Amino acid sequence: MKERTLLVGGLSRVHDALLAAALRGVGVDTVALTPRTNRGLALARAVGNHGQCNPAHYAVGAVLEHARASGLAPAEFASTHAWLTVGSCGPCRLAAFGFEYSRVLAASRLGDLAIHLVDSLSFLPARGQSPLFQIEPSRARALLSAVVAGDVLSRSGLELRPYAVDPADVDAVVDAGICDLVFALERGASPLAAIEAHGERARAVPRDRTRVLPRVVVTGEPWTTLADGDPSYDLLRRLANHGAEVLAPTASDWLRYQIWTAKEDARRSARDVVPTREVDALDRADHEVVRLWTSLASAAGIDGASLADPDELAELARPYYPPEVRGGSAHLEVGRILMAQRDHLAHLALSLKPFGCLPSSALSDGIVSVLLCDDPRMRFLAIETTGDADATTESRVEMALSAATAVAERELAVACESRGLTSSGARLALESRAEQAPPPPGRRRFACTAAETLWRE
Amino acid sequence: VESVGIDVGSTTAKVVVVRDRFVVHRAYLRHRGDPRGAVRTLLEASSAHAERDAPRSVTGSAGSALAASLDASYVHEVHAVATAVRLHLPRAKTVVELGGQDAKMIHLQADGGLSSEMNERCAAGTGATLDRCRYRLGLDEAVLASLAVPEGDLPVVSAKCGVFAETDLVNLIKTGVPLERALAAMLDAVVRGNLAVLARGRPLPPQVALLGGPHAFIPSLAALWRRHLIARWREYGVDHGASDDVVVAPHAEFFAAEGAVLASTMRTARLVRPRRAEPERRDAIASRAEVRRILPSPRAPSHGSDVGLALGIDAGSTTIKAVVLDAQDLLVAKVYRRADRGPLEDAREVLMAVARELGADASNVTSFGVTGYGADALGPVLGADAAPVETLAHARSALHFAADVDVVCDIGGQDIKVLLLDRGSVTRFHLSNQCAAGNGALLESTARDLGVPIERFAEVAASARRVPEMNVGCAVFLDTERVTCQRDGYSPGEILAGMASVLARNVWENVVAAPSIAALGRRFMLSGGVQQNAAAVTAQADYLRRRHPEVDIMVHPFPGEAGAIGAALAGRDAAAHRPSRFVGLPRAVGLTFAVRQDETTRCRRCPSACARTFVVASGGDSPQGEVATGHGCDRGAEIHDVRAPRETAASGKARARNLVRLEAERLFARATNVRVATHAGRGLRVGIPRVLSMFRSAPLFTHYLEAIGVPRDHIVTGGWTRESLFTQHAGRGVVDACFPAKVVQAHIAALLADRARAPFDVLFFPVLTHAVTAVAGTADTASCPVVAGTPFVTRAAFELSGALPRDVVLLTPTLRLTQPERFEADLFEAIRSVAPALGAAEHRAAVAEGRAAQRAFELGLERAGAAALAGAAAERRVAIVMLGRPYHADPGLHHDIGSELRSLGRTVLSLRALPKDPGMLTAAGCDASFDAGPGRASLTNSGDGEKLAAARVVGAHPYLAAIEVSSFKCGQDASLYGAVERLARRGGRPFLALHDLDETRPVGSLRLRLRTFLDAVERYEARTRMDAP
Repeated sequence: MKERTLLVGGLSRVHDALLAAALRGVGVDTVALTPRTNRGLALARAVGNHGQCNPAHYAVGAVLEHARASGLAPAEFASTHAWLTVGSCGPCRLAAFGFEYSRVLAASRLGDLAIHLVDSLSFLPARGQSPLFQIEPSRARALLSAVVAGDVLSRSGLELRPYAVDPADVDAVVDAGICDLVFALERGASPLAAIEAHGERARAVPRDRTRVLPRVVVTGEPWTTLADGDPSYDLLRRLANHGAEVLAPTASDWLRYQIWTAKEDARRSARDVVPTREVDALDRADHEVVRLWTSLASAAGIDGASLADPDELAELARPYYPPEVRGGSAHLEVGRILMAQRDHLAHLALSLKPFGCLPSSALSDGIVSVLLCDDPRMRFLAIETTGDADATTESRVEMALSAATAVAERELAVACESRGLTSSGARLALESRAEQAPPPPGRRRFACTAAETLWRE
Repeated sequence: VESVGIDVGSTTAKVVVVRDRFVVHRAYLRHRGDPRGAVRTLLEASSAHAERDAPRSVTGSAGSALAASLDASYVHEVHAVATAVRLHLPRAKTVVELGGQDAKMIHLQADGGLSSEMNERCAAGTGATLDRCRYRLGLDEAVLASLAVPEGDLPVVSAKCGVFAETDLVNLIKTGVPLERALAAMLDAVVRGNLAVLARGRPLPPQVALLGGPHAFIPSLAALWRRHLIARWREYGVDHGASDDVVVAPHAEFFAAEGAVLASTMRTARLVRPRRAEPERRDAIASRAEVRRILPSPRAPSHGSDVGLALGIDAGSTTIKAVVLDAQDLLVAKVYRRADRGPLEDAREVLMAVARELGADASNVTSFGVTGYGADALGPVLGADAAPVETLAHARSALHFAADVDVVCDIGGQDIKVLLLDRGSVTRFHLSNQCAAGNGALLESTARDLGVPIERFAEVAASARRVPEMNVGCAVFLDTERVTCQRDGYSPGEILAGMASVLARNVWENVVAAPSIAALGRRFMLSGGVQQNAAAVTAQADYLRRRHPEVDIMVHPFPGEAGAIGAALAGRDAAAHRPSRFVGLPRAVGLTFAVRQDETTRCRRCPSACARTFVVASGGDSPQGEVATGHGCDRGAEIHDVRAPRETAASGKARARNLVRLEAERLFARATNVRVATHAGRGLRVGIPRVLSMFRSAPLFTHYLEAIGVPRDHIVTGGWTRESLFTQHAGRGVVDACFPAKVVQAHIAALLADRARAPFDVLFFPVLTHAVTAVAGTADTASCPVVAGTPFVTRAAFELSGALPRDVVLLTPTLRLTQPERFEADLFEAIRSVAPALGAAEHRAAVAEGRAAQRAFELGLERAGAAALAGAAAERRVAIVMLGRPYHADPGLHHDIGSELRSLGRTVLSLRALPKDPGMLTAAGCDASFDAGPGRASLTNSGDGEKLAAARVVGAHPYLAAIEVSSFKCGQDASLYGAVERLARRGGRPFLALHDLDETRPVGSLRLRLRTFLDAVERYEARTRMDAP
């Protein structure tokens, strides 16, 4: 392992950079892969199994692009690098990622590249994998810090973007945040100070709080919702630029779900006595994720964004989607959407996943569409990514956003009426609150932030 | 003051001028890939009605891209349409708008709000699909406009995907279904598809307004909407009865343009980034890779100098071709025409033309061979000497012109066939699956849409300065991309260049999926009608040469007639050994045909119940009298003895066994000696749908229920999947999943509808998260998420929507078969909720009874399998293993190919019938254990390990070959496609992949695949026998 450079990638541009820095910080020669692109997807598909789901081909396609860009001969690249990647998101075709990676790499003359498939919970080698690369507890902690810091930075950008007077300011702030965090993590330092500095820069970005914006809760398959760029149509960023508040799942949410499933399995497999030590250890891991998130989110000034409680999501979903059925985001989509519906958090539920995602397209979509079909306040839209952005997809998103905006505007009208405000009065009231924090997390009267702000006056 | 409304869609542009809320001018134009030009023309034409600076609004799929250049405000089309509908049709609650690409359903709410659904990608292209079908059949718009909808049930055409629908339509026409009936079936599929995908199980309250071009121009569509909606309203108890409950508004095609003027403006920013051109690929079409053109040369007569002329016909999906070869194998006549009137009428037309070309020599035709989709009808009626399957006809033809060819690539309108040859024999073949069908025809229809004559395709494509990057595969997706390219400003030439380039990638990356082109061979021959298109040939040549510089590429001298030439040569070969059966050209052209298709002609020999067509030829002494066509398998060719196929005890057919059918029957059979542990369940009546996980565990649950005292006749297990079941009961689908999951709603609805005859008060449909399998060492044995979770989709579709009768309890316990104690506890809790008197000890005893029945079922089946394997080895006769998921035992889900193979004398085993015990396997002549191999540790799905292990068994038994079956949209199977094939092909074993099984049975393409496969099996069998000691 010592002589090989480790390649990491597969989440967002922010996460990949921070994960690579964190590994360098604990002494592993690591570089972040080039971002996943449609070009990489096409390279992988040209030699891969066309039935495979696109996250697999995006992931291995990034390795192919990286190898090409390196200028090294394929054999030399393969013998000097190793690839660290997560193997699976459930018992459907994603589980066969390992097969597909090997096939594509071999067909691209990179068959000797060592693949290190890790379990997405423990960071330990997946079953059947040789311990190519040991991730000791200190390394695991460093990786966890990188994941959560990446989440906080991404979330901060999403919150800022729709209200920023100039979206370019947001890009500049996020880029500066990445630089600071990479510097900190490379030195093995805590990310806290870098996140605090980011928080200060974010607060300085001019923003217009009088905007009446729709809110979109995003659910879907993790390797698409956590991605930016081509694999997700860059949809989260574009929705935010287009003027939508986006509530997106984070990698920390995914980690907590992994911990939750491990706990449930431990409990279910117990014949008589629940394995307390195992469950306690998992509880401690969960607390650590929450603690880290809370401290970094607070430092970034995004107190409005808390992580959803996995037990609560499971209980909300249980009557409609049994949490024992695994694969992809499993019951999380139904749970997140029901929570958003119950608490009036959003006008639109957007389920984003790769084309043909079994747990999402063939299960969640059917259940959610029935649950939301008569709700005038929250609509549902499912988008399957295919590696291109066709006119139909664009039209569907525009339409859903337009309908959501109409609901937000109606909410504002009701809020104004209840407070006896004219539209210009409402604007003045919102401008006067511009420097104050947005409504706190939790149940709302109106999903529209402007309407909720006036209502809480 | 006038305002101008502009609607720019995927195929047309419309302009209206509105003055004081009234439309004073309307005009529309097909834009043929140049939306800007069309709008310019329309605006000029409207200048008499509106000032040049009149305010403009634009809508439609290309609207946002054109808004800035037109100085128009953009309005989303859903808002535009809804606004116009509210003005003109104030009673409307639902709008269904069909466009070229989009289908939309808009629900208008009383408070002014609206919600909408748009088709997902698979169902894209409603109008475009109708146009494409029309082009293929050579019909003008008036035919569809004047079409009357026949009373009664229509043949079923796939409703979920335009490519499948097109394939089904072609099959119907080829099997003799009258054109009007086939077209009505196609329109019916459009309505059913939109109800399934867009309505998501909702009844769509009246008034329903039908908008968009297809509704405006095809009145039959509205009639079919009325038929389906009224049935649905009756089922759901929705008030209706007004004459205008379903309405097509006049000038509805202009609603979007008018609504754009009336609606408020939206921002025009693009959410999704436009596609990027691929500058480095710009030379893909412009280059001229060297391609050899072979010239035919006279040959010495192969069968003596007195040999007459050889006639060959290729009755293809889009065209019918006839050729005549002389004694020196030179082409003396060739005729080509569009196939649009059914194979018999089409054949008569081409034969008349051939007779004219031959003149006095017409009576000298002494042999006849036929191939293609229409061969089943033409062969018996005209007396064919040979009817080779298309693949073999193409191989024969290619070898005739180049004896050393390694690879034949045939691209027709419908199918892509790639044949790998070794010393004159087909060793492997790759056929496009349903998802890659129609790519050839798409080139032609796109050219037509863009206003480019097909003869100028290559010239226009060569003018492209950039080539858009397009995705490989499905024609529906490709057509959607074409529209996106238009919106992004690509010229028609650039779009055509992109499509030619993607065709090459589709052949080699999708259909063949070969990691190395060089490994396939060096000499490639391109044949098929599409190879007459120079742009397509050049794109393929460039593609191949980039990956295999030494490749020698030849184009068949008669690419369009290659199949017909192969058929003629095969016919001549056959007639050399026995008297020709051909009726003779003069008599053939004198035949007339009477066609009959109704319920009496339907084949009843298997659950597929194919709708056959009977043809009687008269006027020319047809040798066969009445002939059946349209049957899915050889059993359907028998007209008179409809109860059982003819077999003799001594024949191989009689000894052949169908263990797939045996598995299906035994799964739901009941043992005679069930020990009843308690009578706690005596009062229960339980319905169990015959679907998904029940095909794995039915014996366990049915015997358990009997053991807790539920009387045997109070357990209702429904029937097999049938086409009629799906068409009658499929209205409640809330999700467009794979067919095995989607048909569940129909099974449940059928059980509920039949309660008067077979009553039940508990509907038992457990969520089985894990399965017990015989494969050791895998990471997990989880069920597919769709298999496990569909009970909850059912709950959503029936319980949440109020469709479940109040006196029926839907019981969906979550059970994990891999944890016996937990399983017992969870099942106990669930059953106690409906049988409170059930005691724990009795429950345990009943579970034990169920498990014993499950074991007995599995062991019995494996013993039958072991006997079949031993028989195959002893008789040295290849048996076929159907590699599928447990639910593929349902004959309605695998098109009952097991029965067809058995009728052809092949023993068929299911995956589960393969012995799992090493000793049994060895005794049955198999040198392998039931093991998933080195990758087992990363497998998490129950069926994945089983498929890989079974494929290894196939590869280790000298007299086994495999057919892999998989349902359309099965992501679970998709990841294993290559791995299963590699294992099952070991030692040169034939292998057939049927990867896109769906609701309809694609008769023609299925037969092509099965026959090609069986031919390969026979060759392999002969080779293996020779090599055996």
